[in-house]
Amino acid sequence: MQANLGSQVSQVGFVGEYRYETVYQYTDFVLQNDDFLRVIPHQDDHTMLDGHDVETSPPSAYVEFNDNYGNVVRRIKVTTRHKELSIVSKGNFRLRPWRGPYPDVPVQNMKFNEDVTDFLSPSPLVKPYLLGDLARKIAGDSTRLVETVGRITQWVHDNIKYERGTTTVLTEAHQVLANGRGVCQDKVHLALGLLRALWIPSRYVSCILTEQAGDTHAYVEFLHPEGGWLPADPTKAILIDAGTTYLKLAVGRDYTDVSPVSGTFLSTGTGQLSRVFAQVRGTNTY
Amino acid sequence: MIDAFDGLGVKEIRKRWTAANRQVELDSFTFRLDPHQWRAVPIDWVPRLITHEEWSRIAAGVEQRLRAINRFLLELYSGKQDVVPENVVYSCVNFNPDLQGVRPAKDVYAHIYGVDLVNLGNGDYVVLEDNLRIPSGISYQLKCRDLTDQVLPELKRSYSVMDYEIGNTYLRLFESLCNTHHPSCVILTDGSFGPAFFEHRYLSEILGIPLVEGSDLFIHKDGTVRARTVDGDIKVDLIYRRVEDLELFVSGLTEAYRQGKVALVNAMGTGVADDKLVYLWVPEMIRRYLGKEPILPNAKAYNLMDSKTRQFALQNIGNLVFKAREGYGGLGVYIMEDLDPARRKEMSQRIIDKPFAFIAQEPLDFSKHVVFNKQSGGLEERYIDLRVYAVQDGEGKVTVFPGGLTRVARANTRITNNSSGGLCKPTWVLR
Repeated sequence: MQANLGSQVSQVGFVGEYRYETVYQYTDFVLQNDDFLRVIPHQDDHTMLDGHDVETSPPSAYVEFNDNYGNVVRRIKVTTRHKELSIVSKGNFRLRPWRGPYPDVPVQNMKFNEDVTDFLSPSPLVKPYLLGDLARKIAGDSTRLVETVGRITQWVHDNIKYERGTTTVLTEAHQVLANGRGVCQDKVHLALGLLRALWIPSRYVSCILTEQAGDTHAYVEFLHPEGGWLPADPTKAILIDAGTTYLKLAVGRDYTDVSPVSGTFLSTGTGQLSRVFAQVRGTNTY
Repeated sequence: MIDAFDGLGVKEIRKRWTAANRQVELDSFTFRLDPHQWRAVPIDWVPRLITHEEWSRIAAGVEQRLRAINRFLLELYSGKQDVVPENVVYSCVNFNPDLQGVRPAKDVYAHIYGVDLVNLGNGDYVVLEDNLRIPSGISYQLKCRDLTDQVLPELKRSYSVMDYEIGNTYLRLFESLCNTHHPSCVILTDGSFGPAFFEHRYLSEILGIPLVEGSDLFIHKDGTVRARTVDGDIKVDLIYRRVEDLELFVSGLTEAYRQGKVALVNAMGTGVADDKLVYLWVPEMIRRYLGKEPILPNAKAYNLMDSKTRQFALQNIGNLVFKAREGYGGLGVYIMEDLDPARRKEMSQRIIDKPFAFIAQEPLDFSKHVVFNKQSGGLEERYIDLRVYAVQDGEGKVTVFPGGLTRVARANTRITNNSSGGLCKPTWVLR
């Protein structure tokens, strides 16, 4: 695991463009489609957008607003009859180098400048109270934040086998533990449950990988009293020093808060996701 | 009033109650509970009396609320609204992104309004919720009033009660929204299987305008709305719609409306103001848009999107009432003190799953009124609320119909909606 405790994190940035495409197909004509999209990158100290756009086919009326967690939500309404809805989100972005270094601190009595209630409490797919014993066992003698997060992240990475098709988008954290397998989303849910059981504020992040086109990815962010939200990835075994690996899309308590497309449609038919493709093009900056 | 009842005697009262409630059934004064069951609206004929002074305050408060709500809707759909937070208003199921920039006839969205009030004692009324989608029940108010005159003529003679009519007010409203003198209007119903069909038919009769179903309407190639009738197709200027998903009933209606080819009562998009979470900001709308303090305060309510408030609500779940944001007519109301621990736990999971889908309120200790118990022959006390109806026309005039509909909860509950099995009661405003 690439944990640079207390030392400088890699001072590299990134400039480029992103593209996120998704297509839904329906068994019969849809008269109206009303959806909440979380497909526009989430801006923070590390991530900046230089223009963004979302195109849908058929075209849609929309509003944009920030949800409780600062994600940009685009609410669309399609009123043209359709059997297929395609959504393309694209734009330009820059990643700033991480500030660092981030000294390790005791987990006990951490004080934060923001409200962390949601990131310590049970959420739809994560019930920390079912994971307390295991969390304490993994943490062992560690009393410090970064060290503890590192142990949990490493444990989930090593003990949950990466395997597609064994879970759904609604598999809960404790079920992932029981199954012993899953995808990035499942590993994140389990890690969140273990961290929250130890009273470490942590949240779910969905992202596009800058180095690998295809599906979206998920990782954990934990809150550091001085450094803010820092990455921990139980799939890729990354701790803090993520460099320019991720373009963050949305953050939340768990997957249910960051789902890229959620909504309702008016039709006698049923709908199904038929394609997702995410891609970044660009270069590192130094 | 009690003296008047004592004068009649239990036997006579029982006889009159039975006759009147049979009349109610004969008039098909019913609502539908489920696909196989209609129920006559049970009425307790002991009138509720409201003093003139008390009513003046209620009427002024309702008018103020309706005006502020309309202004909010105008600002919202022209992109200028800044009273209600964006994540609240744009997450509302009934917000229509495709209606931005579309203005309704005469800039009025909220034409027909039903507001639920309770009296906390001493005439301190608070607002429980605003009904602006397709508020129903005004026919019950009228029917209740008219039948009471027959059931208890001697009582009516001893009081001076404020009179009112609704037919002309509705017709004036419709005309004020159209640019023609004698607009052609229809009432759009979801048909005889809908829960409020009695009301649709009753309004059609007293207004003298045809009752149509979705299949009777179509969009002509010039973009206007037409109705098929036995005398051929006629152009429709205004639809008093008693259905929600208009596009599902008449394909192309949204576009006809956007182009200003037809007026809709209530206007498309009004449903945002019916949202139980948006309700929290109505007092602020009154302050901002009218520059006045609200005459009728809200009942205390909690926004569960706020994480600390949500934790508080989850920790105090047994003492709260939860309401689904888009619920209406008593649907989606969960009174925790009536539920067992398993159901409470289920509720807290639903709140964790969808914190934006509910609000919480504290149960209120509101007023009771007597009802006549036919079995025992005595009077007994039950919780009551008050649904008041108001109309806002295209010239900016607001009419609040005196009295409203008093709804009585079943014994030992505080839910007063018809669909929950309560009674109605005539409501008299004294001059």
